[in-house]
Amino acid sequence: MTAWSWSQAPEAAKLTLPAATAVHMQVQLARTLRLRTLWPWLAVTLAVTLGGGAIVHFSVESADRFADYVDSWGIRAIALVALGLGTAAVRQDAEAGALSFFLLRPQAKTALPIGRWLAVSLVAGALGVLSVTSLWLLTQGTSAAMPFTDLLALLLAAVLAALSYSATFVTIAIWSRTAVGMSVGWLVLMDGLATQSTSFAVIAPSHYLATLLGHESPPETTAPAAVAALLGWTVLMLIAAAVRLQREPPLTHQS
Amino acid sequence: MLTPLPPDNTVLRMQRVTQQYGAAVALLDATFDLQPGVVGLLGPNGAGKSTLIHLAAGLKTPTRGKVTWLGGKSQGDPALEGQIALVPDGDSLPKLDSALSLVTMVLRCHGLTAHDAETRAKAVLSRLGMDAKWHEPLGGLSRGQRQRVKLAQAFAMPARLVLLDEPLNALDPMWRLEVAALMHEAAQNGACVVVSSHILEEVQSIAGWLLLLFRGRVVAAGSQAEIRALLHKRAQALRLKASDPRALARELLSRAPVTELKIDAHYLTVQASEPAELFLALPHAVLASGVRVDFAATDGDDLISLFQALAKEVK
Repeated sequence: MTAWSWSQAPEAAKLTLPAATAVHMQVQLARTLRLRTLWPWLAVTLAVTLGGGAIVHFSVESADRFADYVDSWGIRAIALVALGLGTAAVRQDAEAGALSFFLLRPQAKTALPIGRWLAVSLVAGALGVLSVTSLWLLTQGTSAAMPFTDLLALLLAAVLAALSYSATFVTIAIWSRTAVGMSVGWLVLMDGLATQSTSFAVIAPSHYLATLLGHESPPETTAPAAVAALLGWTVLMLIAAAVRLQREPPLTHQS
Repeated sequence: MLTPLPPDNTVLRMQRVTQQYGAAVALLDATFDLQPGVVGLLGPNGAGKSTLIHLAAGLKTPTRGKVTWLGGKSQGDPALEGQIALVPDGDSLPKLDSALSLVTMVLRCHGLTAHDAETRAKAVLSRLGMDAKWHEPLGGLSRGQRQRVKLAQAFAMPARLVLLDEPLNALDPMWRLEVAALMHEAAQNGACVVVSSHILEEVQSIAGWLLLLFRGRVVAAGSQAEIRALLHKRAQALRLKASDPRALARELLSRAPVTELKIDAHYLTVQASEPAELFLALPHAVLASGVRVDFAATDGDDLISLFQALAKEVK
């Protein structure tokens, strides 16, 4: 093994934004893809799938009820996974005083929130896709069978939910010291109260996810507009996260 | 790649820097320059050391004043990227990461390839005695071991400014020596290593230059010799063991502006309005009185006394 020497460090080249993003994504995936971290979210996904299975088994005649269950609980489970993983993504470094280890390196600070968000989105999205696909498969051959086009809409909604909710919770955790409380509050406000009011619904991601899943009748927004709104929200959140890290990163010890 | 030092060798310059958190002033009007070498940042808890370190790292923007690095470069200057390393205060680290994975990832962010990053991470962790604990989760390590991992990430790549907030906490004497050797190696290669501590003696033995912080103010700055001279000036009392303390006291009274005098058996404690004059008068008084002095010591010329005196002034 090479002996350490201060002056004989290997040559390093400044990372491009995509390369730095990939490194941060790798950091987050290495932390997330362990049973110790992942089991609560696997349990949530499994519980939602089993719940769907129970509805198919016990009230198979009610196709509408099953579709409602898939739409609401399938997507809410993704929001919950994004909340759990997203709030921990940057906050655990900040709370451990380790954020500066990464921020002081020669790379764009923007790479950190983007990389962490991509990793959280990937895991939340994968679990969401797994869950909605399992639920769709459960209906096949029963009277509640959902058409293939419904599966496509569900998969699109699952991916967009993972991207937008993950961005939201990663950003809340960068801005707030009480990330979990704030995120739960935000979720209740946006998924609950805002969608009850037509005037406020336009700022709620769940409103646009409902559009994609055909919940609105007649729809107030077209599907492409809903996709654009969700992607726009995601970008807005990531900009907010990057601005905070650039100007005043959350540091724990400020005595 | 290290950015070259400017002609005046200034690594960090703070000009009238003030940092407020709401109404609380954490740092007030700090003005100083730092050059390569080991600098001790001394102050009791709550003096503003961590705030100063975060400002020096460029992780905070001061409420007022200006912080510049390497000859006038400001926060966000691309030439400063990778030039600053930091060990923050506190002993927590991401619990599930291993020492090797954390330091490797930090080095990957520095632009090293995966192979180079792991090789370098192993080398620096070995230097700090962590080779047997590479793969263990950081949450399971002792405080001292976690501190060494934090130091490893800071020393993993050369930097112009290395900021270490209470780096010797939880380290046993052997590792304190090793870490001091690392600091000196970095300083000899042109780095300015700032070591904060509230334990005065440990920094006195490492740093050549001292910065004393009290209640958010830089109350003294200078070389060890300059700070010693300052302490000498502030010496409050001279304590002597003499064969005839009364005779010696008489001589001192006639030669120095003595303000207080106390005799207890063979001991004489004497204070003067001008301590320097008292010290100059002492050998003459001893010769003139013909007494034998077995022991002489000053009270109030250590850093603790200096902080206590400064506390009274700041109040």
